Amino acid sequence: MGNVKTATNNKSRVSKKREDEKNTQYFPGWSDPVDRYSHISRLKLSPALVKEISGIKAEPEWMLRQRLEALAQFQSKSLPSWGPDLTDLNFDNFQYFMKPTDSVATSWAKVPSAIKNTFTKLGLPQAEQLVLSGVKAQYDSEVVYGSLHDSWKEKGVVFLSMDEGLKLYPDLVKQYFGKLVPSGDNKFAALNSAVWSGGSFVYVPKGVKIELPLQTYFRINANRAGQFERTLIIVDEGASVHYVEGCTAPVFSQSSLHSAVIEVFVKKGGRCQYTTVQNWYKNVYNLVTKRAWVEAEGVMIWTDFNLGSKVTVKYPSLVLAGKGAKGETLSMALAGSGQRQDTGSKAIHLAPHTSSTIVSKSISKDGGRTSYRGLVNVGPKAHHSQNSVVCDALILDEHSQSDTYPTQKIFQAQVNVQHEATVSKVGEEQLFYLISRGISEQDARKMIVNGFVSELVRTLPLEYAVEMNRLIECEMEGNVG
Amino acid sequence: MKIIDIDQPGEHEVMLEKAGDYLVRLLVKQAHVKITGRWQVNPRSQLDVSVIVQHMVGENSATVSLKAVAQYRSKIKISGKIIIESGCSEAKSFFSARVLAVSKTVQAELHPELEINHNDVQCSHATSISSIDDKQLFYLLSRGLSRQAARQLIISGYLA
Repeated sequence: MGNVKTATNNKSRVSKKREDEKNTQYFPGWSDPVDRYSHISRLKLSPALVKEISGIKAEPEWMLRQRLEALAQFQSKSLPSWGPDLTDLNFDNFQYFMKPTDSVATSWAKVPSAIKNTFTKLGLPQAEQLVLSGVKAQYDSEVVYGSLHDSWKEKGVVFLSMDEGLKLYPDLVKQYFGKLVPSGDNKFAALNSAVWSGGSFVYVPKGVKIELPLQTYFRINANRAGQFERTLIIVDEGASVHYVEGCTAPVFSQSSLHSAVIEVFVKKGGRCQYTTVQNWYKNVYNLVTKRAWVEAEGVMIWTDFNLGSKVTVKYPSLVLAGKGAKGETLSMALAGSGQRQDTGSKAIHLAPHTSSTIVSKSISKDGGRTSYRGLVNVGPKAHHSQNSVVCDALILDEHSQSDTYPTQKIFQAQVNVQHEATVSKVGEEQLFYLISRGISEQDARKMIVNGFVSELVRTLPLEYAVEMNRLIECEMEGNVG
Repeated sequence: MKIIDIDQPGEHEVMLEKAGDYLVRLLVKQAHVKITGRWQVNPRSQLDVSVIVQHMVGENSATVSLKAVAQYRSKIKISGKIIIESGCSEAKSFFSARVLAVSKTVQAELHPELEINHNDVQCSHATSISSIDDKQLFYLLSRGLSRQAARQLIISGYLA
């Protein structure tokens, strides 16, 4: 994660040039030429494209078959009838496979200089040295760089791109791939299963606790690019890992599509924290399926920060399958002009004594719209389970909108399920208090918004928390409501 | 769907006796409406209630409080929606739905929703599904009540 520079000091002409300002404010907005890419597929979404991708990757027969099945499922499914309007999505308009380099480099020296400069500007090599156990950098369709600290390699930790994972650990991949999010799960899971490329494959062996986070950095570089990463994380018994992903994209006028599938398996007594800092440019459709399977006494934590993108549809899910399993989702969404953040979480309790907590904070401004959509399902065997859902929404001006659509389904009486939601604006009293202490109105608003989300930001490792506060401040710039 | 229009300012109370779909519209300012529903669902029975509160203008308030007790093999479905149209400054709206499950074999489904198109409002909803608190039961049993009587007392207290 890099330094966010506030590229503009121009706060006065707010209303008029807000859109232009946004563009200059979006620090990761540059792009590199694509002429040095090792392969760019010209094909539209079709079985031929799927065969081409699978062929280039030299995949086993079963994977190709699975991809083709998924494509048929994708084509037979209609767009969801609920949620944000996706009718503008033209699936023929995206570039499905863009391979920037021939192989995954293991040292920065081997990464082509243009790509290296991009990641250096985003601050990845510094972060790798200081605060991370391992790094992956994905550029359009493929991972271009990967590293893992030697001490973890010795303990048997596997941190590879999904493509490498399939080559080196085909049995492990076959055992877990698509078992939690089958291709027929939803239209976008089917699309991802058909044309997936890149993503991470993580295996943490029994009892190994990785102290510093593993990070993958996703970068869309080309115009109209589609990025379909596929991530599989297996945390074995008693092991623990914190996985972080960050996302940025250049400023283009045409839309890009990012549709990922993330599967996490937490075995008995394991722990996984999955943190997303999503800061796509405001033309990216971000349609992601994330699900975790948690066995007895295991712990899964989704920390989900959504600041960018045009439309985000994402509900990280927890399947609490073992006795005493625990799940937590901490979700924050910020929707500005033209943005729609449809986020939330699902908790499915299958076993006794399971507990889950969902905390969602959303901020909408300049006509943006945030929605919380969630499901809590307590099955007949999940006695003595507990769930609590808390949603807070902050609306900063009269043009913006916030919705809450939670659902609770209970098939078992010995439970405790709670839901609370509130919607409010920045309190006049809070504002008055701060202004009376000599703070400008704009700074006061920033402080109140930062305070509103601080409960969630605190759960991030320090470096990311600082980064997140800065990103939010950057978004709030020029927002005198 | 039964439509209840609140077109006079002042305090209003609405008691929902039957299950079904209700739409409560607040058409004037300074109207304050309290909507209450209390149900004890018989064994092997169903309850399906939907309440939509729509604020057409601002400066008014609505409070919805629904409670149901679910017995042996009963099914409960409660949907609630608060809609605040844009421009409705200073509207206040609260929704709560609570289910007490007194048997292990009940099903409950709650759909509380908010659609807020304006910033100058106060809105919240709360739902809960719980079973009889063992401590409460123990307290009453220790005072010499039969289990049956103790449960009935807790249920009456819950619905009060």
